[in-house]
Amino acid sequence: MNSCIVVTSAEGCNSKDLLKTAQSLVASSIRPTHWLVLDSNVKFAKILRRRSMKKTAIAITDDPSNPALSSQTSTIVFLRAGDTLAPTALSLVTQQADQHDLIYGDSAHGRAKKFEEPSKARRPQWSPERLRSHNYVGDLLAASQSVVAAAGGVSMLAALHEHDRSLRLFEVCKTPHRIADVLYHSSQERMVPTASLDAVQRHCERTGIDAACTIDEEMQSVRVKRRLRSQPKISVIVPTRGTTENLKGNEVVLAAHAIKTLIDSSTYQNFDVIAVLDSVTTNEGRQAIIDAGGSRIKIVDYDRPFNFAEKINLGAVCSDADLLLLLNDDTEIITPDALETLVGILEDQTVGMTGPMLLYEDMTIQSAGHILNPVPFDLYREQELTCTGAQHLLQVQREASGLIAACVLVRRSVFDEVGGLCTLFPFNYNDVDFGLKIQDAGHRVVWTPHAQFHHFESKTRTPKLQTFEVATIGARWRDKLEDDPYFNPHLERYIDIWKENVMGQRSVLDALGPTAPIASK
Amino acid sequence: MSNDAEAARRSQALDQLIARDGEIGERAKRRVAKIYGPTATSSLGTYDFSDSFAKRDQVSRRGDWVHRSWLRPIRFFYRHIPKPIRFAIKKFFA
Repeated sequence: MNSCIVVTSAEGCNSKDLLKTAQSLVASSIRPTHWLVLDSNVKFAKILRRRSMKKTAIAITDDPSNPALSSQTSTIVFLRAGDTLAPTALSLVTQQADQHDLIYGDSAHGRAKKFEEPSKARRPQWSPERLRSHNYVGDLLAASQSVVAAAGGVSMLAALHEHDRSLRLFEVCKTPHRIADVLYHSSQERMVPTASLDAVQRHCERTGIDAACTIDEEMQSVRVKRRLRSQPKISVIVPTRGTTENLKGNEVVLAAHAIKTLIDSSTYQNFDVIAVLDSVTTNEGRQAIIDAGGSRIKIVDYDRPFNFAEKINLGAVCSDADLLLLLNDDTEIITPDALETLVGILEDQTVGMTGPMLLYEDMTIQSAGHILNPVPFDLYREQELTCTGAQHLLQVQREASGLIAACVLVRRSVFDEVGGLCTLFPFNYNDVDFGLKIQDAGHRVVWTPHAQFHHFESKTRTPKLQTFEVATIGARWRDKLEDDPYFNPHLERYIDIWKENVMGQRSVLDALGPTAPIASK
Repeated sequence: MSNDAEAARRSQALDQLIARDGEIGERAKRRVAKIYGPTATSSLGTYDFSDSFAKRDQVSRRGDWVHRSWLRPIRFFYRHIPKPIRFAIKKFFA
């Protein structure tokens, strides 16, 4: 089994903080062999004199060049001064250290009260896109010696801002891993991740990402807006039956409205539109769509029983573009640079699909990506746009297990590679299946809050789950549904928000019963 | 390209997509069956989103130390001592 070396930067901290950390090391089920305390103005003697420390075999040192610290079999654990290690943390870390070269986990914050446990920050699995936005992995990182050496060495890493340290370590590691358990008790009550603009800019330089980075100081999140190297052609695929509805007080053909607003408002103009029309489409509806699309429009007739997946596939095979925007007819672009933002995300070749924040007409959230718990939900559905989400997850670009197919941009090559949307799901879950297929093929799925569209979903259809679709999604993806990597097993299931699952606690949401699951689109 | 040729091309492309999806679907089904067994479904024979299994799981994992057999006499004693003492003990441990 690996041994552990704990590294603490004690710059600016007092002896009380160090003592708290020291006591947690003594109480740990597996004690570290060494405790390296760097940049300390506090004399160690005060801590070393304590009987509890004397009795342990932990060697305290402030010399990073100590040869005992360079053992290749040991794991380096970065721990902030004042934070306390959970008693089982090092045991959990050493169990995983053979298979993973970088480990992080959940944390507890604040003091336990009479009837309450401290708050816990639950974290998702490895999410590189999110790490660029803020340091969601927390302050405790356990890395192998080789990763620490490749990232710049112990003393350099310990002195860095936590966001900078995380980015550098994750750049060089190969098998990052999240332990879904509390690894440390933070001295900070603030559970929201911190962010450093400098760290992200330097990360972009090191990794060759050509982007403009800006920070939202209040939300502590960095936006990495990639500069487009080219403007590839997009085919906007709009399946529709030419429905007319009242939008903002006007009677409009929904598809015509979606197409017209996209053409008029988008700052990205290299796209054509493929409208897939059901046979029930009226002549007036067809004409309105043709008029809205002008020279960009291509009409494809669909004369079979309703199957959303098949309509999308039909639109895709009629396209010659490199990128496909699957767009419902009941949508409207909000942010003019939405397409540029989405195309920018696809500049990263490891991303297969990306999608925007979707909002209802009253500006409440319609979808911020899917979570599978195990029912596929639209995250934070019907919450106010001002809602930042747990640990600000609604404020940052991040990986998701799936995206609602009402508006997603996907690479043509990826679409073909995974066989398009599955026609076994004519109504629901074709997008859930699609997202899981894309990830199964090794591509990432990224959701962004920096591109926004309206989705007037309730205006067109009432969600209705079909038993055969639920059975099919379960038969294909049951393991993924029950263990979503971008979720945490300690969170409440069967709800669409990120909420700690407290045994015996009954929330209003519980009392009301499970929220109606999504029916996609 | 004539309309017929274009229709045939589209039909062929759609068939290719369905075939590719079928391959991936079969592979995914085999993986699920390997993890959950050949009857990787609920007792009804199909997967469903019944919320009961999550609640059952929570209940089974709850640390039910109160009803341990060795605690029975202590509980019995506690429940039969005078109320003020009982409340004092309760207040002390709260």
